[in-house]
Amino acid sequence: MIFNISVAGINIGIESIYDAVYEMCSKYITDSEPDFVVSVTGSDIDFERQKSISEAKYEGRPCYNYAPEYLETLAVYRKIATGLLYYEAFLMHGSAVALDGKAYVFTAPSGVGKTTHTGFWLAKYPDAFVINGDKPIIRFINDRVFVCGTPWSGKEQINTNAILPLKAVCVLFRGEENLIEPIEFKRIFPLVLGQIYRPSDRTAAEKTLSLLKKFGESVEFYTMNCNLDPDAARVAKEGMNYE
Amino acid sequence: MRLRYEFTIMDMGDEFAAVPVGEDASKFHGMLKMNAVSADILEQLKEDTDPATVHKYLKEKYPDSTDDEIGNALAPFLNQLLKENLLID
Repeated sequence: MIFNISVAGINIGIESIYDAVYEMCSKYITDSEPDFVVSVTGSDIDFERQKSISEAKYEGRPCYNYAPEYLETLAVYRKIATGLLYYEAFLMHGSAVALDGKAYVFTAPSGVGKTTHTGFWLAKYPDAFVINGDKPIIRFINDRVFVCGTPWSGKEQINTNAILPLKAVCVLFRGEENLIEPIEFKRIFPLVLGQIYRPSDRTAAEKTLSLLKKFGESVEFYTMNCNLDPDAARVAKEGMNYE
Repeated sequence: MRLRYEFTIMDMGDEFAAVPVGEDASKFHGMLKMNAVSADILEQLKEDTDPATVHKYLKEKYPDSTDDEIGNALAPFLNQLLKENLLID
């Protein structure tokens, strides 16, 4: 299939083998001319299969036999994320939630509770919504940092076709009490680095690191110890909006 | 001797971070944090070199430092890289 989507304000042409990518991207389809085009081949799908196997081995979890349709969606996003680097944008693993015209990104290693915490925000604040529950795009526009919705949003597939200014990034940890505090980027850098997509291509990887450094200089960072009390949402919001 | 992997060195203000890039990012899961002198040493180790040559480079870059001071910065850092299996002969 050949179609165009708009993500992070950039028009992207997609040439896919299967229909699954098109169906996943339905909220992002555009008729506008693409700024760049990504094409997927069988070898790209094989690469994703091998990568998923090696990652499962490295993380000590079972290897799943993913369908090629799903692996193609990963291949497409990998190519899009690499292409977007040249539009001052990068992919960050995290859950991005919006409230009052501002975006907040919660990031953490898998299993800490990003989705649960985001759920607390949706329950506490009726106007809140999820921009992307797993893999938002971060983009610099006129030196301001924005969070952008994309169709690729993890197993829950929760996303909104929206672009909002980023208020803060919060790295979540499990804790007994809900406690949030600001942190210097250099202190949290190794953890944030692990949540950024870094292409294997050296030039693209260096571009990513350059954007990450700029990101660190432009954004407020927090760490939060959180438990399963829904009040965690209030603690997080107030902590990141303390004047 | 030289670095086993390709690194990009990032200036983080009062410290530096070395991050593996390219294909090597999947071989070395981590990063190195260091001071400015160690970052200079790491930069030299991107190409094949030896301790004496790196010492000479540091002596030229930091002319107010004594040989002992440079040695005290260079030797522990090289030993640490060897210990972490980040150097190859």
